[in-house]
Order: sequence, then C-alpha cells, then structure tokens
Amino acid sequence: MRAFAALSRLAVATLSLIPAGCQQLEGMLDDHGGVVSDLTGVDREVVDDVNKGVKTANVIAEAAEGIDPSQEYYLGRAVGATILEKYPPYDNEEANRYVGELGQSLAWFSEVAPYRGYHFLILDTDVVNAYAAPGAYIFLTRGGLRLCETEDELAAMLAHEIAHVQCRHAVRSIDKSRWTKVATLIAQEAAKEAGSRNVVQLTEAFGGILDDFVTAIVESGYSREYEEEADEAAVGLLRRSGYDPRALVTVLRKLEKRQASSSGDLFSTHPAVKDRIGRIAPLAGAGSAETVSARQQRFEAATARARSPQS
Amino acid sequence: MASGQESLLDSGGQRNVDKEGTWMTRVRIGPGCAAALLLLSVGTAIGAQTEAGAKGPPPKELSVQVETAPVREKPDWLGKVLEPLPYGTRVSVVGQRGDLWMQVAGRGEEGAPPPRAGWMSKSHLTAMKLARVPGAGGQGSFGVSDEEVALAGKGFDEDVEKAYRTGKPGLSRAYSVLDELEKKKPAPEAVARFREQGQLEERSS
Repeated sequence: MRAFAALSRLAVATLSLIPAGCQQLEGMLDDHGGVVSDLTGVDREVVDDVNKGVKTANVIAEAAEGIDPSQEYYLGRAVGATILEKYPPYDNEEANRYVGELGQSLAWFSEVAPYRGYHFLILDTDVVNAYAAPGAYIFLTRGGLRLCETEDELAAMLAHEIAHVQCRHAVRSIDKSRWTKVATLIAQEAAKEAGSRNVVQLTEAFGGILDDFVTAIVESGYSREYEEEADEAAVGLLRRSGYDPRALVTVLRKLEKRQASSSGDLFSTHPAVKDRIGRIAPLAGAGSAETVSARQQRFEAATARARSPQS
Repeated sequence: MASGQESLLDSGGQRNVDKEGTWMTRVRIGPGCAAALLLLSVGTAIGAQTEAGAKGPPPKELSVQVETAPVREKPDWLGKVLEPLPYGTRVSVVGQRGDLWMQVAGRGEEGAPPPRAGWMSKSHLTAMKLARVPGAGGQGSFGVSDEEVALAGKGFDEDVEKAYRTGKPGLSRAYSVLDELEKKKPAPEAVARFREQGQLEERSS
C-alpha cells in the first residue's frame, strides 16, 4: 500500500546493535561493503589524501558505516517536511497526544533510538497510510487511524513503522551509485581544514538522497523483504511492550481486504499482503487478538473525532 | 596494511587509548584496511546482538548515538539521571539487565577503576564509533577531550539543512511543525502513566 504494507515509506534506523527481527544482516554487509570497495577503488587519490590526516579512522568509518545517526536526523527532517508539505498535520491535540503517548510507550522497548528520539503525528488526510522518516518522525494518516478498531491494532501499525526505523530500511534503500558519490564527498570534506566546507556540494548530495527516499515512498514503497522484516521486528516490539502481537495480523487482514476491493492505485503497487500474513501469523501466535477494556475505552475516547468520516 | 590492521585490531584495547580516551585521533589506517574496519564494526554489532540474547560476552565499548543520552541510577526510564552524555561519547559496558538496559562506566584514569557506573537504554548506544558533534559539551566523568570533539561535523548538519531550505520558503511551515512536534514529546512520567492505565506489562520477547 502506500499504506502500511506500504505503510512503509521512509525509515532510517541506525547501524547499531542489530535489533532482533532485522534478519538482513548479510544485506547490510553487502550495502556497506559495496561502499567501501567503491570508495577505495573509484577514487584512490581521495582516499590517499584523506589518509594523510588524523581524521582517517573517522572518514573511513563514516564511509563504511554509512550516514551516521546525526546525519540521518537532518535527512529525516527534510523527509518529514516533504511529507508535511503534501499532508497537513491533523489539528486535534487529544488524538495527537494519545498517539504520541502510545508511540512512546512502544519506543521504550525499541532497540534503536534515533538521534532525537521518536515523534508521532496524525496527518489530516483520508489516504490510508503511515510513514516513518529518519529522525524519526512517524506519521499516521486519519485514513490509517480509521482502519484500526483497537489500541492494539493502532500499536501494531506504529510498531511496524518503528521497525522500519530500527532496521534502517531507508538508508539501506539508497541507490548505490548515489551513495558512492556521497561517501567520497564526505571523505573529501573530512580531509579539509575547518571552515572550508563545500556546503553547496553537500546540499546537492543531501537533495539527491532525499530524492531516493521520496521515490521509495511515493512510487515504489519498500521491497517485500523489508516489509516482512519490519513485520517480524514489530511482533517482537509489540510483545515486549505488552501489546498483543496478533493485532498486527488483524491489521494486515484489514489491509488485505482493502487491497482486494481496491480498484484504484492505492494498493496496486504494493506486494500482496496475503503472503506477509502467512509469514507473520505463526510468529504472532494462535487465536484472535485481544485487548483490555481500559485500552479500548481510551482508544475510542481519544480517536472518536479523528476516526469520524467528517470533521 | 599490516601496521594499520594492528592498530585496528588494537582499537578496543589500550595501545591507542590515551588517558583521555581519544583513540580515534591516534589511529592510522591505510585504505586497504577499510574492509577490515567494516568487518570489525559489523562483527561488533553481531557480537552485541548475540550478547543481547545472553549468548556471548557484551562488547567492551559502545557509543552514544542520540543527541543526549541519560545515564540513570536504575535500569528504568524513570530512574534518576546521574549524567547526560552527548552524542558520540564512548562508554564501557560492565553489565546488562534484560534485553534493553546496559550498565556502563566512564573511562577514568588509565589503570584506575571506572569512576562511576550507571544504566543506559541499549537503544541509545551503538557499536559504531561516532564523531562528536561540535559544541555538544560533556566534560563530566564520562566526557571526552576537545580534540575528539573537533573532528566531527563533516557531513549533513544544520548548515546543510539551512542551505537546502534556502529558496524553498514553502518548507518553513512544515519545518516549524516538526520543531513543535519535538517540543511536545511526552515526558517519561506521562508514558509511564499511559502504560499503567492501559495495563501494559513489559514482557520478554
């Protein structure tokens, strides 16, 4: 979807302690190994220059490891701003506070925190979707909120987005040739004395990566591999935080139903949800999702207006 | 290559660590060693994951990967903050509770016991070695030297964001929404209350 299944969009986590559920470690090795060999092979001169300085370790580490968390944050802000240009924030303090507290209560159990932590916001659009930007801003549309009938289902949607961040899917989606150029540029910058930065080139590179992110969001969505990885990590996060992981299966079933009945373009570009359900259901556990009355009451109270068709 | 590799392999030890812990400024490696560094860093990450599952020893040193990470008295989000650590600060891991909390110690003088220990969320730490952000402060018992701080700030940062926003006045409103959102982040006490009211209990995964 551009929703959930596609609920993905952008997400950037940090290459850190690889969180449980992020199974694609070999993929990460490939990604970053590619950068290293490109850097050393493509522009040996730059590397040699860089090696003359005391900054070498940092430079190579930065090239090898990718964009570090503080840089991800600034990319994430640009991603967030791009999304907010398209969809305005939903002006409802009660609903946003509820989603924010629910999001933080999941974030406490996330294995990776972004540079300035997680932030959650409802977007005022009927489009059924959720987005995770590096940094990490997690946006949920009113359409996405309407799909949820319980707090646990809402938690499942947010956990899936947090998982994209944890697993660093946006950074791992950056085009290889783009990344080689950026890594080289940063290496050159690091070799310079303070005060002589080439902000123009850095800004161009910044815009290029941002384009890659937005393309992944608006046009293609994440690969099925990344969606499945995020589903798996979300199950762990839901379980650790005390929510019912089976709620993720419930939400995916609703998405599947919507996908089947949708003739528009909303879901047409996204991988079948059915396969994801088949994969995640055994991990989430048997039986139907349950919620407790205290959660149900506050979910309904806080989101009634946001979920209503009008207003 | 050989000498560079030695330096790398030694990076977790003492040889390249002066009393202020500025090992990053001392290491020299050749380009051919980049792959070795990569493998080492990923290897550390694998080790950390394994450790999280209580299947192996914890990594010796981790870096703060968030703007400011509190060291707490207890492994609890409401635990008293002993000291906030800025991005990039290296800490020694001396223990762990469950999957999500690391007991850490500052560096102290070489050969002496760590001056202070506390608890940090694992989510705030990474096996990566990160350049410090200039002006981030942090000269307390966990702090690092000015020399290390001076190496940071070479990539995408506030300056780049400013340049990116130039000529795009339409983005100002969107950015201000993000700024407001950050200010409204719920306090730990509110999150704890939310969890209690919702009868949410931590479970092991």
